[in-house]
Amino acid sequence: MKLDFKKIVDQYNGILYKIARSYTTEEADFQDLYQEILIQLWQSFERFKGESKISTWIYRVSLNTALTFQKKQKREISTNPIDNASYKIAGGSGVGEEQVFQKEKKIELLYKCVNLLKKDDRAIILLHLEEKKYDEIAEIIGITVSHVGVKLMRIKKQLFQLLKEQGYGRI
Amino acid sequence: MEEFDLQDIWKESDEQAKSYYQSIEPEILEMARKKSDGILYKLKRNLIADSSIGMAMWVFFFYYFWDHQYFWLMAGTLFIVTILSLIPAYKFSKKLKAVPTQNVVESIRGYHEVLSTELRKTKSRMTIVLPIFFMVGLIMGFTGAGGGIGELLEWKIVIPTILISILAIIVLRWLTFKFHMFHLYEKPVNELKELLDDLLKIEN
Repeated sequence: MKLDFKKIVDQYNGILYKIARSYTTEEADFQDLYQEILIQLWQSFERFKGESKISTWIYRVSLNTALTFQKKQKREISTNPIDNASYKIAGGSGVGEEQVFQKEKKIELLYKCVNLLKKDDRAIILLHLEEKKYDEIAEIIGITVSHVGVKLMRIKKQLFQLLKEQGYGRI
Repeated sequence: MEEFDLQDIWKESDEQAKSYYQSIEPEILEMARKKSDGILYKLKRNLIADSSIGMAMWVFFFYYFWDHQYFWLMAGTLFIVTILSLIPAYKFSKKLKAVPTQNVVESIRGYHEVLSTELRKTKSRMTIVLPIFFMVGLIMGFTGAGGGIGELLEWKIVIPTILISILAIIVLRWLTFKFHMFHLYEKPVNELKELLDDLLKIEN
């Protein structure tokens, strides 16, 4: 069981990271949420009977955890913002430092703007950014496909507006 | 700023995810098996703590008051209070496993239902338990100071005592709900309700 679980997390760790980042702005909260998602996945792993795709199950558990996550009270005021430098993007061949820097800036800005959306809107937009189809988003969230469409249109508009205000075009 | 552009940027953070994952990978299983800090688990721990305090009080009272003339009255009261706190802790553990997980809306609805039911039950429990505790404490204190139950029932004593007790219970209940219960139940209940309403709100 341990090995199966580890294999799944190895394969889908990107989902955990992106959801944890979309629901936190500070390093300590991010780490707490990431760990809480792992705990919830581990606890529900036993009950997972394969009735849906593994990725759908991971999105569902991770989003439930993020939506009900509460910051530790003693830290409610503030600590350090998430430090992008800790999670570097590899340069690769032919990619200059400047390009990597630009990429990191854009990623940081995108997360910052996603974080400014309402909690429930974040869940929908991040599934869309993950390139999930409307019916899959509807299945994970538990609303109708048409409802997803209407909501997504409004959220995307809001996100573009936020990105513009935060200076996306200038990067 | 095209849509695919945002999806591309989003995808690029996979590298950051990988980098972070590599930094914690050796401890993944250890991390996954830690104690949950989720709201319902915190509540469960709280209920268990309540029961443990009840049991610790049992030991304390048995040790110090076993020869007191109203020992059985007090022991009986404590027994009822302990049972009253053990039953919810047991029932809560069962409910925790029954929260639906088929989709986000159902889970949030389940969380909200569990929490609001617990909030309602805790309020009722406190309304019953606080006055009982207060009365027993009063009798113990009065008789311990050399008074008899008969004296306590004289109207010159009983009326001010009842008034002060009611006032004390109201203040104690208010303080408990204003601070402890608010953070533990009311705030999350309100947040979950808002979240659920937002998710289900029909937009044009």
